[in-house]
Amino acid sequence: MSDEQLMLWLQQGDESCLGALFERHHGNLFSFCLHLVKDRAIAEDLVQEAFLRVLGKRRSYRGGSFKAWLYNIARNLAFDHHRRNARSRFQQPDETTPDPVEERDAERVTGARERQARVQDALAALPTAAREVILLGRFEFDNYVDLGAALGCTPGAAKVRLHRAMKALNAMLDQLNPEASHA
Amino acid sequence: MPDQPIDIGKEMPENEALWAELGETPRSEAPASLRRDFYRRLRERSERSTRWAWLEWLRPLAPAAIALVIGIGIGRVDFGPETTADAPVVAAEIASLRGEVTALSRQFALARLKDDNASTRLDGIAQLASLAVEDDEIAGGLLEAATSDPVASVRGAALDALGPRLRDPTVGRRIADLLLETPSVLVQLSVADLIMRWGDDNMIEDLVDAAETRQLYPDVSRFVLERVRRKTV
Repeated sequence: MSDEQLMLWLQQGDESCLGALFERHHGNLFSFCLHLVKDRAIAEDLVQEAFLRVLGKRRSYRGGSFKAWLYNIARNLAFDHHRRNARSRFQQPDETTPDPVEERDAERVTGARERQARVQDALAALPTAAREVILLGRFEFDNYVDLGAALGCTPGAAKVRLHRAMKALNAMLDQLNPEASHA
Repeated sequence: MPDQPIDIGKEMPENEALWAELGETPRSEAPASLRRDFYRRLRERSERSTRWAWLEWLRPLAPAAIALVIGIGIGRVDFGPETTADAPVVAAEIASLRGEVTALSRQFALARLKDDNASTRLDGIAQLASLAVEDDEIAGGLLEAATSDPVASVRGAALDALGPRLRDPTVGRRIADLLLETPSVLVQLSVADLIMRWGDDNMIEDLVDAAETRQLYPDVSRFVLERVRRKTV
């Protein structure tokens, strides 16, 4: 059963379809939100709110990829949260979450692992807008049509944004480790 | 940008290694509390809306009530109090005007089915759905949208609107043909769902037969057989 069929039935009043959509997508959506807000409690709240919005806005869904629509709702919520809490900095690490840099220090035993850790550090240091487009393009969407829908822009603009973000990631890698960055 | 989706991974030759390394980005597991809290919030929301559900029946009457109030207002300003002798003439004029407005609004909604924009076509379908039961031209327009609209969700909505007309032999036959001819799983599912809800015994029997003899997509067959099983248990 496709997401879009479930969404069609949800529009027709079968609210049980929301549970099926939640079960399919909440795991990945949580991971994405956590990368954006760096706070587990806030990420949990964003995921719940996103699915409740799906229910509330179901009549405005006009077909197309449900997943792209869902991620678009979630990222808008994340940015709203950011705007509301401008003082508490979007990228500030959560105190209750283990510091990803410290956690990985122990693993830096081989060259490959070191390189991997540097990539993660560079990704975490990118501006949120660049980080989100990379995460969505790498893990959630395999084409620019859906990526654009999730980002609320055209496929062409999504492609440009992803390429710019990758360029920024390369630059960040250079900045973090100028000697070994492009191994 | 072409219509066909482009695989993003293949578009990254200059960043191939980095793209692969990004695949190792840690993915966080969703905590169990997320599921529990979501279903709790969903339940609370549902209880809240049930509490006010009795107000929902008033919603369809709202546009009519507003139109009535405006009509009374205009009538008072424009015509003033009518004499008893004029009343039948005025009533006939109002009935004629009302008929013209209805015909115009019907033509407008039918024209929306041909609009280039899919969401406008969807709105047109929503507008026409309640009229399809007694209007052959509208049923024909919806049937056309159900069988040949390029957007699957529009075809699905048109199909749904045709539900009450499904036992009409012409509509029923076209829908039954669509079931076997459509290349879209989504549309086939919508047709199957429609037949299960609105079809007569013969239509349901044909549908089950098609599911059992694998003439339908596997997901659709499973859906049909499961619904039949649930009905018979």
